[in-house]
Amino acid sequence: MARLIIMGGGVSGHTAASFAKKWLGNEHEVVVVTPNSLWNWIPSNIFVGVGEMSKEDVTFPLAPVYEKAGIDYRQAKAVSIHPEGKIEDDTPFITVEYTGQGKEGQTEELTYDYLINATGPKLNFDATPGLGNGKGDVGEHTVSVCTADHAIHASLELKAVVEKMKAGEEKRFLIGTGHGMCTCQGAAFEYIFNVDHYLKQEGVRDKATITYISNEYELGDFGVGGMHIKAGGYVTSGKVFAESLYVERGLRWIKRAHVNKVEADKVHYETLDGNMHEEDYDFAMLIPPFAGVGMKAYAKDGSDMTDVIFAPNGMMKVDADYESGARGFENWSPNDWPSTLQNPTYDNIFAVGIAFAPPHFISKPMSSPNGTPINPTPPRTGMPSAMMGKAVAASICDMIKGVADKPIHTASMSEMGAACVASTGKGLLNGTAVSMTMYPVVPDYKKYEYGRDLNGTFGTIGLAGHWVKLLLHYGFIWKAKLKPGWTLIPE
Amino acid sequence: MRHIEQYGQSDYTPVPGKFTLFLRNCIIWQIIQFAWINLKMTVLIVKSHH
Repeated sequence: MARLIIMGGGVSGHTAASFAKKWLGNEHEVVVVTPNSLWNWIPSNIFVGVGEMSKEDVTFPLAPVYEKAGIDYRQAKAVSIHPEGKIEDDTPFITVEYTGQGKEGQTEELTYDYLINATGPKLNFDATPGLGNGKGDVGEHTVSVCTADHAIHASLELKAVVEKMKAGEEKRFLIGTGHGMCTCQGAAFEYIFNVDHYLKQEGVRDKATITYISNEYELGDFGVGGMHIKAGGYVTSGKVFAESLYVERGLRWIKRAHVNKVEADKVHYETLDGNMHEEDYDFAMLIPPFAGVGMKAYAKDGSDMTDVIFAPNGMMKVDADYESGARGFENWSPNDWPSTLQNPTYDNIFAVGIAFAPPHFISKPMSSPNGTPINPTPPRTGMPSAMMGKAVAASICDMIKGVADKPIHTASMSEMGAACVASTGKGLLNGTAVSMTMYPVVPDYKKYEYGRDLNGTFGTIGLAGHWVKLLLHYGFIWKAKLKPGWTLIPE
Repeated sequence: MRHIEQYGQSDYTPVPGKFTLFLRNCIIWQIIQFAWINLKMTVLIVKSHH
């Protein structure tokens, strides 16, 4: 009997665990180690952040789902990896520290045959002074929608501001990225439209100045260097459509910005031209940068070998070409990106989703004259992370069953697409959405003139996208609960 | 009056016309769009799995 341990129970980890258990059956063990007791459909946190959905609408308890599926669930955080085992025993293991199940604070060693790192990111609020609370969580000045609890807090703060607006006060809203190296601009993009929609519903939009602040070079970059689509007889940049959405709603924007300090009523930021600025606010939702979760790795003799397995940013090394970043973006290639997601040193360790270290940016790297890097980091969430989880689970299952002696399933971001739906409102007839697809995520300028397949890359705005968003919300939660037919719902 | 104000972010940005805005909420057109978006996403998913 082989044991597969998956560290992390988010989109990629949960997908990997679900398929691995389905394919391996009861002959082998699948263990999920996650500090969370709830599974969270993170894209819908946006709706929680404006009070349109509750925490219960976007989360569910993992324990009963895993119990039914036969997955060994440990509510614990992974602390360290020991890929060579101990001096007296070669069996690799991880150490975990429980956060629930009545074992809070207890540590345990769990041996494995195969290991998937799907921990997701550390929300690195403290990278920007004032954005964090100094203890790794969101600070007192701004709000976040990165977790369901953060989103509830955001909703309460938003409601409090709206009450003051109803009493006649004018308010300034600032929504965007809280650091020059953030990813996940899509969340801020969607949240700002939902805040605009909410303020209109509450009849106070005329008392609001809403500003988007972003580390993107242009609106619509999204950390993937933007995208071109066919529209109106032109091949045009997504920037045009993104700006149009902001203008249509009377939203201001600040781009190429690195927020370097957050105070109670203002942020300080540097722009790519090296100038320093300030922006006042009454309500701010700023996305933090991501980092690795800070796991350690130790050799057989107990010596620290974290840098062998992990990149300096704490993300796990996989089969990417990590030399490519130094060759300059003009020499970047789709082949730089990992495909099997296998660790190059230990072939029984894999990393998926945000947990794997990308070889370089997708957007062109840029720095201000002061040397401050200001550009989005590559997104690895949602659809791509689920596809990675499934591909890695398939490879490991094949190796466990003896069908293959090396990973044969791939999920390279240079060979997969991504879909994104940014929606406002919740009703069936009063919502609207921006729907986008792109293929591939990592542009290939040798294969495609504009980096991507123009037949697979498109965008549209309207009620239909809103229906798609609702369909995805209910469909993916159904799938994550492993209800009948869950395998028929694609990643 | 907008034409006597200084240039701003909105002055060089396209905005949708009345017909485009109508189509965004036209149920019949949006049902067609719904099918089209789903088809696009399905093709994307098929191409992405290896």
